[in-house]
Amino acid sequence: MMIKFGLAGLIVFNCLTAFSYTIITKDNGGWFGFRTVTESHSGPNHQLACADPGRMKCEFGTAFGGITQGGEVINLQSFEPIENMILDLLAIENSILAGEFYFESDFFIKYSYDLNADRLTIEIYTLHEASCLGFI
Amino acid sequence: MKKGILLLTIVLLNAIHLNAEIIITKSNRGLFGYKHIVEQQAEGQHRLDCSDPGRMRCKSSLGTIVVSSENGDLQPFELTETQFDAIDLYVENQLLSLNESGNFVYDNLCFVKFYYDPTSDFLEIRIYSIQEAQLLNLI
Repeated sequence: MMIKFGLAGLIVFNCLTAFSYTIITKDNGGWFGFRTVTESHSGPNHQLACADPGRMKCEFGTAFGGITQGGEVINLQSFEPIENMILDLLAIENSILAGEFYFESDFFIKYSYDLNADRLTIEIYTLHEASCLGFI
Repeated sequence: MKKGILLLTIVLLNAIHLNAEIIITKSNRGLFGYKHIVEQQAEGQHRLDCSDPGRMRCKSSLGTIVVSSENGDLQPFELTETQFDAIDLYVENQLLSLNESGNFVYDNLCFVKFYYDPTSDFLEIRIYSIQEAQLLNLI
């Protein structure tokens, strides 16, 4: 009994300490890109918020090394295929504007698009994070 | 007084000049197109105004666009859907290449001017018949 509680406690603790996320939002972009690109990193958590028409690309800066899955790093270029997959899904006429999928068996992706506001949100989780958060 | 006469002359010349042009505006586009598409036809001008995020393509519902000048002194200007799409694609590629304004002659058929304001996400495309572009000294 004690062992079971200990194990459960370890799992909960592990989830609490390992909890992290990467969230990208693209809000009302223009043909050339975005006016504001805000990047924030807090420990294992990464956020990229791009908004309004402008000339900047919506991407992480070079300081961002990527997020890890079992020691593997998903690099900056890897976001493009994720985004392209999402755009392909959303481009389907009358498609549901939110969904989730596995990316390369290593990551769990959640996305949503607000059509009126032209706001795309992409959440990228390692499988461990997704499991801890109850997504999978 | 002279300035007033000059201004009046310019105004009158503009009133007499008979357009044959197509104007397309695109503003606040979404990832998948537009919510509002307003198409207006008048003698001498055809307008297509597309705005706000939605799922519609910014194109004419008529297929082929025909513009006649007000008193028929210019040949009717006709643009098929395929030609419209080709011009639209060319302009979009120019924007993606970060060219925010420019002009070109398309297929010896028409003269195209475009301008994009990145701050307001506003694109204007003006398409003139070759005959009108020559009259306006654009080419």
